[in-house]
Amino acid sequence: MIEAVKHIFIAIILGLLQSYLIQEVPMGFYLKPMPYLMLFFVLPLNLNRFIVLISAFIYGTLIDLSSGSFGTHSAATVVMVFVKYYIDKALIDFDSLKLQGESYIGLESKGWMFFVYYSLSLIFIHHFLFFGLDFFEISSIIRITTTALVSTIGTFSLVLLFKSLFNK
Amino acid sequence: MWVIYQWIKKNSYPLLAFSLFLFSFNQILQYQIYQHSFYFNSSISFIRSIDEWRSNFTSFVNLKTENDKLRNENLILRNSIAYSDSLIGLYDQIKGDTTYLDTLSSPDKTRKISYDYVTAKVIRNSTNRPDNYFYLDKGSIHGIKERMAVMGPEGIVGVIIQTTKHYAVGMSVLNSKFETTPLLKRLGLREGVLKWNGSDSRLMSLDEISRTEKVKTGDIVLTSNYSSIFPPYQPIGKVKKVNNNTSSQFLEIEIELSTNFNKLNTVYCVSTRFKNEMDSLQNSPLISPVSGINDKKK
Repeated sequence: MIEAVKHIFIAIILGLLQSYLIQEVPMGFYLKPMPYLMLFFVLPLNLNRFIVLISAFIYGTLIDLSSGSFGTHSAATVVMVFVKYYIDKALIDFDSLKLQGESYIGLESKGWMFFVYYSLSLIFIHHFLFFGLDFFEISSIIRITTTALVSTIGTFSLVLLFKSLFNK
Repeated sequence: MWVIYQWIKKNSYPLLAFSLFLFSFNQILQYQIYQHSFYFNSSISFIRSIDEWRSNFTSFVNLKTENDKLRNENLILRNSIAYSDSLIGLYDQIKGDTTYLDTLSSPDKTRKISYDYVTAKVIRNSTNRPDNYFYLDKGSIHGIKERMAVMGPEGIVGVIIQTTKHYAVGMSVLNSKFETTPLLKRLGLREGVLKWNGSDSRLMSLDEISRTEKVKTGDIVLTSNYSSIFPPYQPIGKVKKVNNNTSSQFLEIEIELSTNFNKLNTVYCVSTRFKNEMDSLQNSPLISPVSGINDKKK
């Protein structure tokens, strides 16, 4: 229960941060970080996959509503969470994670290099889809990729920053 | 049903993810202006391409109907040409007479030498017998009558000899009983008898033309206005060979027919509007033999 309240609290904080701070501050042409994705990196891995998927959709829709980008955040988030489930299933040993006393992948769970690849690839999938749906043009593929790459690095940096803050 | 249920149960997670994604995607297309217009324009062009494909397909399927339509249109055009030809003929007749303008304004009088056309399809045809006949898919209810001329797109074909309600039989020009007087266009010569020699389906012979006439190879042969069956100036063929035989007083001329009887498909049956009147004159007891009308003139 306390865990659930904690995660809802994190979700609200990250949502507000995304909608009223990060989105409002111009950070350069290609840089559009989305730190709200961090929520899905701190959710317990043993949580029901359907609940995670539906909550990702609702969360994405709420972010969409606050930023006026109907459907873009929710579509990208749903896809990211969907892919994340299969990546988790393939690469992570849940029992050993349980033995380590961790419920999600942290920096030290499987080594920091694993964490970097794992989170960077998932964030990139989300961002690529997000900007793809946002630009909605095959001819802008280079711009979509560049924006997604730069924003992935931005989001990843913010995720690292918050992780260190929360861990403290 | 059980299998479907099992399948859905097994794939519920991907299905849920997919439906949630579709829902979001639908929201994007519905509420985002740029995406909406892009989607709208693409779907319009997609629908257009499908429409084009469909119209191409239907026009291909409707080719037969289109063909029939064109054939009918051709028929109408031929009729109108016959009508205008009759006007020109009339003009030739009354040239110099100042009252011809009054005659032109009265259609009944001007139609004196016009023709009616009925289009038909050849359903059976022979070319290799001494007497050849062809069968048409139209009969008396379509307006086909006996002694109507039959014309192909390239030239004359024959004469209708018998009709039933829905079919007609014609005597092909490739028939030993067929005879007509043609017109040699270059010489303006309305003389001789055109007959089939019974061997080649592309060749006919033109007899009874005096040796003094300077007929040349390649001369165009048309129907003459002496024929009560065929409309005048319709193509028959051209002179292929002229044999000036000293033992005879006539030339031996071979005519190459313009109609290819082996490829005969669509034909026009032609009737003269006032044929009955002409026939009654021809059969009049006052005019003793028919030669009175069929005088060979130059």
